[in-house]
Amino acid sequence: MDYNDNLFSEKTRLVANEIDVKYGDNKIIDCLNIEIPTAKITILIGANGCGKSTLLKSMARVLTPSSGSVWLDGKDIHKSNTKQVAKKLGLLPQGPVAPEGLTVKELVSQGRFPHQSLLRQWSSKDETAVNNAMALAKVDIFADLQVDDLSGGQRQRCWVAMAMAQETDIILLDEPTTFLDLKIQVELMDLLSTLAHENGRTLVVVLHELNLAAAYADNLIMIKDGKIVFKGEPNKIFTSDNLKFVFDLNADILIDPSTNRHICIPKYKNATSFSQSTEGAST
Amino acid sequence: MSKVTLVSPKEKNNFRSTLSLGILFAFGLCIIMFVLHISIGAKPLSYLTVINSIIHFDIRNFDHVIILKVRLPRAIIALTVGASLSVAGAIMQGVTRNPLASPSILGLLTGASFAIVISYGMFGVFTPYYTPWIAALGALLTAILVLTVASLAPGGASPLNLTLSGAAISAFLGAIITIFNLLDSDNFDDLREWLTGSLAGNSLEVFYIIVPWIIIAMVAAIILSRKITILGMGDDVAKGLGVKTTGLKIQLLIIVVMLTASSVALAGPMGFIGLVIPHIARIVVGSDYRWIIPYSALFGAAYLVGVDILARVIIAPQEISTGIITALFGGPLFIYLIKTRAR
Repeated sequence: MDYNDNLFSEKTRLVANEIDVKYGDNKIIDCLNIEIPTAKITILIGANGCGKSTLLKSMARVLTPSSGSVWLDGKDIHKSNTKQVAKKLGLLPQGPVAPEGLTVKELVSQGRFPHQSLLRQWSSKDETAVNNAMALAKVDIFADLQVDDLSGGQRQRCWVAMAMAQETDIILLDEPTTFLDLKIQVELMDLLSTLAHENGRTLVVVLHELNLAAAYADNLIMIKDGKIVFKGEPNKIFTSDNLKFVFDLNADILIDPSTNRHICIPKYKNATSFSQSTEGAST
Repeated sequence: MSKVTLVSPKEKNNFRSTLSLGILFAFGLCIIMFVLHISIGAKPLSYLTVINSIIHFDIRNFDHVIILKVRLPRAIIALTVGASLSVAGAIMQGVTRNPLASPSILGLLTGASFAIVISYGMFGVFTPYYTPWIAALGALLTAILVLTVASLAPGGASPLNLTLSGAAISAFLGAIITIFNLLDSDNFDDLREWLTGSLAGNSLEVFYIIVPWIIIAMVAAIILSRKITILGMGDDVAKGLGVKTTGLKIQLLIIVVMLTASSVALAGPMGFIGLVIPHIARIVVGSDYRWIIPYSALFGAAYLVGVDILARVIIAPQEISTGIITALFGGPLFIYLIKTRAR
């Protein structure tokens, strides 16, 4: 096994067991097993169309597998009361769109839905959860602006705030860094890291940015053609050979001397090249 | 410290209490329109007479009889139809995430009318006991047909595909109604005015049959309103929050069909109310359906009663069909909304 003992030190709560997922006759996920380590960041990577989003949606009970099952705390998630599941497990799907005219606070407040009922509407606990989530995601200053009026990055943070307001132990996020500037991507990943390592949340994130995935994953999972091909610590599996196999990408792996993290540099065919001479290095 | 914090919790509460007060205001507006509607007409009646006739009715007083037998039923039907179509439109716009969705644009009004015309043409049935059910069947089948056609188109049941499929099916059913009209114009005379959306000469017979259904549909709409807002954020988000989206959509479709069919059975196909009123409600209350639903109901009721006053006085002593006036006002109003709200 590639896993070290530390990763699964806490009891595993979310498990998928031999699941097949189909769209029509097209098999997207093929007899896949996965265990999600608790209070860690698990990051799923893979080429476009490899099934990583489908896997995430199946674990979030949005899609139902044609065979096999997903277990949350020992219960089949697709047979559990969906509102009770929503108190334990939150989902931020890919590219969500807010209804026209909704304010940031209204959007974030929707995350409280699983905690409310016809008789128990809005409580001070809900108010606190919403305000905390907005502060953490740094959208509290936009609270009463309309979501449509914000930039792509600000909007994305509102959605992350909504998922946090749900106050679930497990949060699944599908490409939360899309459309964000690199700085905001890093801030968001730092936030997720805090949530996992300091607040004990379990996170499963689909990412496109390979270096971000390698930098932040406690548990990196590489998917190809609906199957998990490599899993484990980034420093063990984030290798040139594996990237070639999974993405058909020719890349070199460098090791950041200060952190020992792996970084991939694609072999650019026609990129501008610079000679090693001192010419131009005028500083 | 940042100074950008815009609204304190106290102000937020103020917004909520303003909206609650606004409900009372809208309710007051309905009552004013209602009394105006009854007092204005071929024989103007004083407000005092109107109120007196309701509080202590006197059968020997001719004015009281006019009010009870003619004007009161008409005002009640206008209130009911206005509220029902507006709530149906608001729900449809929320569920389909389509600002153009409404009972008329998605073909439900034509579908309900079509069913009534066909049953009338074939079996000569136009009794108050069956019309609501026939209308409901027509609206439901049309809704399913429009949804199916839109889902089969490339891109699935997108707002655009839904609108196009609704318009196409509506035009097709409308053409068949016209053929019936041409083939059998004698019999059709009874239906012609009804088909333009009319409140004239309707008794409360149909109203008594459908009123329990309308109440059930309205209460259900208010109970489900919180989930409609969530559905507006997309199916995946809604499912993630623990909403059973498929079941919810079926429940909402049934509510929409009940409200639309009741309106058509009462007053024929009345266009534009279901399209325009929810937008006006949204301008006032934002995008929380817990407010949009009750505001749409009250605004819709006040609007149709107001429009019906005009229908009766513009070319008095003649009358224009109310449906024509709703379109006459609704069309330009909608263009204005598109212009001011376009991004």
